[in-house]
Amino acid sequence: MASKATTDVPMKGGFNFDLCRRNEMLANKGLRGPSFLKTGTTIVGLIFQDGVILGADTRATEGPIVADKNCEKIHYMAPNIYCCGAGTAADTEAVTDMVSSQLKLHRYHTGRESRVVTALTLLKTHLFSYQGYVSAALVLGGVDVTGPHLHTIYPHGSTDTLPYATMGSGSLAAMAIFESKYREGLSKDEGIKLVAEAILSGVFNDLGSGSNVDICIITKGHTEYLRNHMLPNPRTYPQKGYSFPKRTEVLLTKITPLREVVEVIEGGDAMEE
Amino acid sequence: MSIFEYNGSALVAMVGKNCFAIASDRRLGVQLQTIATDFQRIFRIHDKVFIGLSGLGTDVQTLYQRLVFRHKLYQLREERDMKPETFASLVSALLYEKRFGPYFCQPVIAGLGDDDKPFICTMDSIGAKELAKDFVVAGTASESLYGACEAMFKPDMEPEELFETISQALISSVDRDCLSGWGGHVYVVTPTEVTEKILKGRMD
Amino acid sequence: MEASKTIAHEIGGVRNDAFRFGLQGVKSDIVGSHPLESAYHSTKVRQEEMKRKVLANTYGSALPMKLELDRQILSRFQRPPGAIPSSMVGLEALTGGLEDFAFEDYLNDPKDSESFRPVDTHHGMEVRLGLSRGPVCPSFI
Repeated sequence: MASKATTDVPMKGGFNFDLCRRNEMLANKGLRGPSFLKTGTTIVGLIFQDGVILGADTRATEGPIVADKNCEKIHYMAPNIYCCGAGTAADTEAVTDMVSSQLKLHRYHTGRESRVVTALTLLKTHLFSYQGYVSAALVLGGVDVTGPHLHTIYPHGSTDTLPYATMGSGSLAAMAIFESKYREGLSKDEGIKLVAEAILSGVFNDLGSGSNVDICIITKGHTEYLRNHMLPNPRTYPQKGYSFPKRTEVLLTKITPLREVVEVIEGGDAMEE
Repeated sequence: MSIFEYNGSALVAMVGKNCFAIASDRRLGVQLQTIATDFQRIFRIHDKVFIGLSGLGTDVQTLYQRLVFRHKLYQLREERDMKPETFASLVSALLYEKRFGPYFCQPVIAGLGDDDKPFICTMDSIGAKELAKDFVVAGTASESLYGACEAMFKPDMEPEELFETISQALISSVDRDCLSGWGGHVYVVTPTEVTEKILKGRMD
Repeated sequence: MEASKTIAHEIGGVRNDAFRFGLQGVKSDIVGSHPLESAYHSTKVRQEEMKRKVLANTYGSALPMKLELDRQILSRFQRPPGAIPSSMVGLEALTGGLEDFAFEDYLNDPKDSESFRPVDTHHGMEVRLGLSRGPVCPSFI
């Protein structure tokens, strides 16, 4: 017992399962739980002659509803590594953020540039330990001392290493483009064009993907993030808009003036007034 | 039936020129029976950050109390108010920690950030942030709100026009949703003042 | 045996709050409320076990034994129970926790818990010394 008592270190946080029982009980009574925000998604990546290009569409869906028309699916992992996420939006966001923090800490510790395999291992061990309950499907790309790398990671933690990869609901549409047009040693412009074409194929042929094209080009020592590289479906607001002839009936109005923000100039003569 | 339809709710937030508006309906029901007609779903965190919580009433109030607690803790530690972006991250983290047994709540956050730049965002019940530049909606009336806002929204509206637009969007949407309604509660926040208005709506 | 004289105390927080954790039952205690829960709690232990085995296979069994001894000593260095929790920096340096970052570092952090109850130092100390029953910090979940 004495040896066990020594392990009584302060508690740590983590996931909280408090509400599981209640939610399960409600589900058994026929009250369905909520659906989560998904990134229906076409995400792709390819290796070209100097590095890696990643691409993604920008639609987020909740069931059949388009919830966000211009979301970001290419997540920052390290200055030389980026990651596209498909699946449950909260999971892809949380996992990539957490691993990017781990990589940053690791860089502080070692003083070296992060390697793509490090990110890959961190992601896959995390996803594997959650047995697929964390549903994040990822395309990880980056350039490190050992050259350009492209990996895909499935929600259960299995990984692939490929010269060109697609993921998400639009993966077939995008893969069709890659299979017919990809070759080794593409130039940068050819690579961007091919990635954009693959994403557009997902945008127009898959209903889970839509809106704009985001692209990220990673080469040795340089990263270029082209947010909204293409806008094939621009939004046009009504120029005049609506004017409402009958005003809304207001029952009660309460106006609270906000207090002035007092600026304190540090080291100045603010106190003299 | 979805758990979101148990109490019924409608929430919307819109961005104007250096201001924002956030509005909700006032009904609390138990399925098709109306329990209260002055239910509060929008809460003030501090003068320039508001949060609306749609979904199950019990979780709305629990989550609000936890958020107030965390914000007060932050105020004590940092001696300043939270920026809306920071607050959104806090809400996101609070929701994600219950990833496997979530609160049945979909928040809408609206605030004025640095230089009084308006910020609005919504999340699903496990904290996937969804930032928008124009408007965000949540609740059982979200589908009709999407339609109404898509048609009525204009960029850079002044506070008066913003109020009129958000009210019309809300009222016309909840009229097509039997689970929400009984008037509306609208907050319009400009850098100098907060205007709170209660709207008259259909009562059927 | 000095250890047998002390009163065993629960490690960690209370798990018998029926409103939060449900009624006590053999099945629910083993399975948990979510299929992931038991795996989630045992992953850390299993990973540490594996790390120890790897070390034993590579460097011989003396190294993990020495590390375990260090771990026990370092986990004993704690503040007296009170408002400020121990940072456990020595232990974390040993286990590699300092260079690691995971969900438990920012999700559901006990330091930000709203169910925190100020700890009674005297009671906490008695528990730690094995004179009294109960966890050191009853309100940490």
